[in-house]
This record gives sequence, C-alpha cells and structure tokens, in this order.
Amino acid sequence: MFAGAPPFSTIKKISTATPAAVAALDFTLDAAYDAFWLKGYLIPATDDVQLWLRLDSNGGASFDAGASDYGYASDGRYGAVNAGPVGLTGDTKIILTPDPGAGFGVGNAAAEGVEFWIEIARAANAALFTMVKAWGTIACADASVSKGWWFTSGARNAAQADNAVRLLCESGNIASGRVALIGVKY
Amino acid sequence: MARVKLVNGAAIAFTPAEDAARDAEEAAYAAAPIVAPAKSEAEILRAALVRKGIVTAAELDAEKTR
Repeated sequence: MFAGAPPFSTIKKISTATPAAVAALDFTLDAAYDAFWLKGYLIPATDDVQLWLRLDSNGGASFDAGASDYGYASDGRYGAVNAGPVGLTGDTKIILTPDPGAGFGVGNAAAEGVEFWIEIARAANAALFTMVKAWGTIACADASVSKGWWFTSGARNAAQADNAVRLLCESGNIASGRVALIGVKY
Repeated sequence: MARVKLVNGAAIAFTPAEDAARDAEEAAYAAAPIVAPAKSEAEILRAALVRKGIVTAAELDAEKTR
C-alpha cells in the first residue's frame, strides 16, 4: 500500500469522518485525483430537512453560495409519493434530496437519516464545470417514515478548479453519521 | 453556541462570515418551515425511547405480539 498522492490509476479511501453535532461536513479535494466519491450516511439534528452540497475553489475558506452558482436536476420516489422531477438552472446549493413537501425531508429519529453515494468529477480542471451526481436512500420525516430513492445530477455554474466540498443540512446541525472520502485516479 | 464544521475530520469553529450566512439560511427556514405531519403520542414516545437507547425498535416491535 502506497501513501500520499497516487502515481497511477487507483481507487483509494482518503479519510473517514464521523460528524457529531456539526453544522457542516467539509472535505478538501486533492488535485492528484480525477474524481471523488463520498460514501456514507447522515442523520440531521432537525427533523424534515434537505441534504445540501456546496463546492469551493479556495480550499474550503469560502464555499460558493451565490443565487446562480449551481444548476441541477433530481428525481425520487419516497414510499407512495413522487419526489420529482425537479430542475433548477440557478441555486445557492445543490439540493441532493428532492423535497416534495412537508414530511418528505430527511427524518432525524435515531433510525432515520439519509444514505448516499456522491461522485464529484472534473473538480481540478479549471476549464471545466465540476460535475456532481449522487444517489441514495432516504428515511423521511413523515408519520409513515416513507423510504425510497433519490437521484441528483448537476454542476457548478462556473468553470473553476474546485478543491473542497461541503455537506450540510437545510437547517440545523448534522447530528451524526459516517462518511468516507474516496479518491479515484484514472 | 458557536457552530462547528468538521474539516477532514478536525472540528473547527465557523468563521464570522460563515456564521452570518448560516444565520440567514436558518432564518429563511424558520420563516417558512416545512412542518411534518403531526405524529401520534405513541410514535413520539417510541422515537424518544429508541433515541435515548432505553429500548431498541426490535424490542418494541416484539411487544406488539406478546
């Protein structure tokens, strides 16, 4: 097993985080990799909130949150309810978990939360939009604790070399979870 | 209490600018909250018991058929 940046094609777990009562979960992205996966789960502190993602080109010092910084589309099905399709050409964040209304955000009970696989591609290339695609399973906040799938795909609306990613809830802290950052070199 | 971010596994306090931006987002959420449908007292009690680790969900389920 080698240490440090990958000299050849590889998939490597870079780090694992176990957030507890934090407002945001940040990872810096090493430009030596071509793509990154965030694999894990989170449980929000506040019931019925969306899971958001933001990018930054300043090493995590100033995550982009302008009104037209991100474009994305998403879809999902939570129990008997359609969660999409949803599409936005400009937003302050990428909403990973499409939200069809009251009760269909992520649930905050001990057994609820959201599980996901997020891929961040082309982040280091300043000439290309950083692209994000994510899919996962949600346990909703509604009385039936509806479960189901969601898929979201989008990008930063400016071509820039992004080197940090942030996961956060629509409101309130991340109560708990476990997320691994995996680097892909190809 | 100051907000904290977990950066590559290390807990770091929000900067004043991050805190102010998050205050605005939290205020927007509070102004137009998405309120979950009311849960029954039994659902609330069940969630609280499991969250506090007093019993597991499986143990509560088992009680239904005892």
